[in-house]
Amino acid sequence: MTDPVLEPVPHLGTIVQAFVDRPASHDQMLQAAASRWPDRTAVQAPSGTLTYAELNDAVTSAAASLRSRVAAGSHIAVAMSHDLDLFTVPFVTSRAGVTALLLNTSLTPSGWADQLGKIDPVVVVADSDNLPAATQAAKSGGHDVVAAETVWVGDDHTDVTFEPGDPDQTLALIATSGTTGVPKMTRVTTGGLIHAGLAYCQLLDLAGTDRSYVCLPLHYIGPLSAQTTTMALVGGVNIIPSDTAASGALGRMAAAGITYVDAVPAWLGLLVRDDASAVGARALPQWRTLIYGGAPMPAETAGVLARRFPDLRLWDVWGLSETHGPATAREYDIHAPPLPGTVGPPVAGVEVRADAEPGRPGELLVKGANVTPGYADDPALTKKIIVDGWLRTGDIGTVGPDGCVRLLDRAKDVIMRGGANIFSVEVEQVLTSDPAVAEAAVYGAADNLGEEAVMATIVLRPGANLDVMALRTLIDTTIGRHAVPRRITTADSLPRNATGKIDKVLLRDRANESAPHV
Amino acid sequence: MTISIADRVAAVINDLFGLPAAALTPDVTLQDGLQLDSLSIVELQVALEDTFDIDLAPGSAALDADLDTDRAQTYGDIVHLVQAAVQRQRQAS
Repeated sequence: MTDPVLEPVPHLGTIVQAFVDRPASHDQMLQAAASRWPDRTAVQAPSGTLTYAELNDAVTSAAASLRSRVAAGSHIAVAMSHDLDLFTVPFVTSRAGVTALLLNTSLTPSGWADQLGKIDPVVVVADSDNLPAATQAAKSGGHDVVAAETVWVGDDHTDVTFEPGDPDQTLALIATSGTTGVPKMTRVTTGGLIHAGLAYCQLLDLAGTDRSYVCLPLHYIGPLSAQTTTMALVGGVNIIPSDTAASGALGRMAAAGITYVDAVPAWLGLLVRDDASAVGARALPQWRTLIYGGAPMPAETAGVLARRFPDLRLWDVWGLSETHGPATAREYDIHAPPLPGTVGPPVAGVEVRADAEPGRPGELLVKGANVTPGYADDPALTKKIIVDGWLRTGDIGTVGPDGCVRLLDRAKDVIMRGGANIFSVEVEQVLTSDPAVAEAAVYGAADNLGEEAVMATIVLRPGANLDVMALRTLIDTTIGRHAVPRRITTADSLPRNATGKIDKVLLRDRANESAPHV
Repeated sequence: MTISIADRVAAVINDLFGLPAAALTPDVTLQDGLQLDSLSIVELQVALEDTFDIDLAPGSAALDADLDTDRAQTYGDIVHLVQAAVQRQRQAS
């Protein structure tokens, strides 16, 4: 890994550090890839395989076809499954100069209808899998729906000339995970993707020999920056499996000669639990890079992966959709397992500080060329969360003297009880340090005095018994009396949202409904 | 057969805090033994008052002079306190 060459550039009213060797735009990145590596495979998907030259031609055709229907600067929506068309969307929109709302296929048509209402796209482009749901979702707002095959595999519109790519162009909108409240439409810009992608390339030493396994949905920011963008920067290939499940994934990865994976901890937990079989380092000798984020990585999962794949480098990445993925990253070292919540120093070009006295916990703020210009559907919230170029992340943590970031909690998950702040993540970490506990979720619920009470739901390991008193004593002695949960209950599994984050809103609602009001 | 006051107190504690009956020995202290914080102990007091329709406020007429909520430290103390308060309540009515 060589030191990156950075230069100061203006961004969001401040000065940030940008990679000197950056493509001028996302579209120029693809054009450069097509001219440097025309015959290299760019993508292998269930419905087809394209080289960089073929991808470039397909993008031109689709962009021209799209522009024959909508003007530059328009908003469209896409309802597409995990396949070739969805993979090409960011390339097509950047060439066509339009913005695509990426509809999450795990949502219902009514969820789509809400999002369409906010963005009011000129047209909804749906692949055959999603055409009925898109038609239903578009009905209330009267939005036009067209089949992807009529747009994406359009006629040869070679007469269309495109505007030069603009790094500030919003090429996609994605709903941030919305663990609380209403999802917001984060702007994904061509410049933001490029800087996030370059930071990943530099951090992970990605190269044209990399074969990237896309198991996360292509409408998430993770694969958009860490995989779709990075591979186009280095001339590597993205493999889009028809089955993204963790079960059997190691076998599929081995067959595809995978070198690089971006995943969430819950998926990796299933991967190591499901596949206790023979697929190990010998079947996957070339797998060298794994990044994960979006939720705390259980120490056990990281340990199993590190032991089973000795040559694999594991990276815990902290970031948000609003940072186009990465803000900090830390490499896992099995000989010195990280303190819980330690997510490393900022990636190249990014600055992180805590909104507090030096060394004290505070809301983490991020500055960099990869920070989004904001939410398309909420300018007022944008002004609140991006102040002088610093993004308020909503995560509470500390920044050490060495610049390393330690996450303590989501701001909204901090439990306030009797004037004390209780960091739910800290209590969860203590609970899962008990050998009987596989997973823990800690959240606040109202008690009968109008205070927040600490509630814990745990999943026991197979064969383990619940010892409430032992767990209470453990938290009492490690954190303090104020953090001892009012109730510790067990469950077979923890509810999670589509991105694998524990759904604490649901747990809190359940606790408030079932609370004894005596 | 009626349920004893001790069992009903244990049930209130279990409803609120999910503590197993085995943990509720007469000598176990509410604070260090059951790890209840001061807010939880106030909540328990309120819950017991509502369940048994008694007044456990310090100095309340329902209480013996020598048995004060402020000095109740153990689970046994609490059961004793509730039993005494219930009895005085009955005598008064």
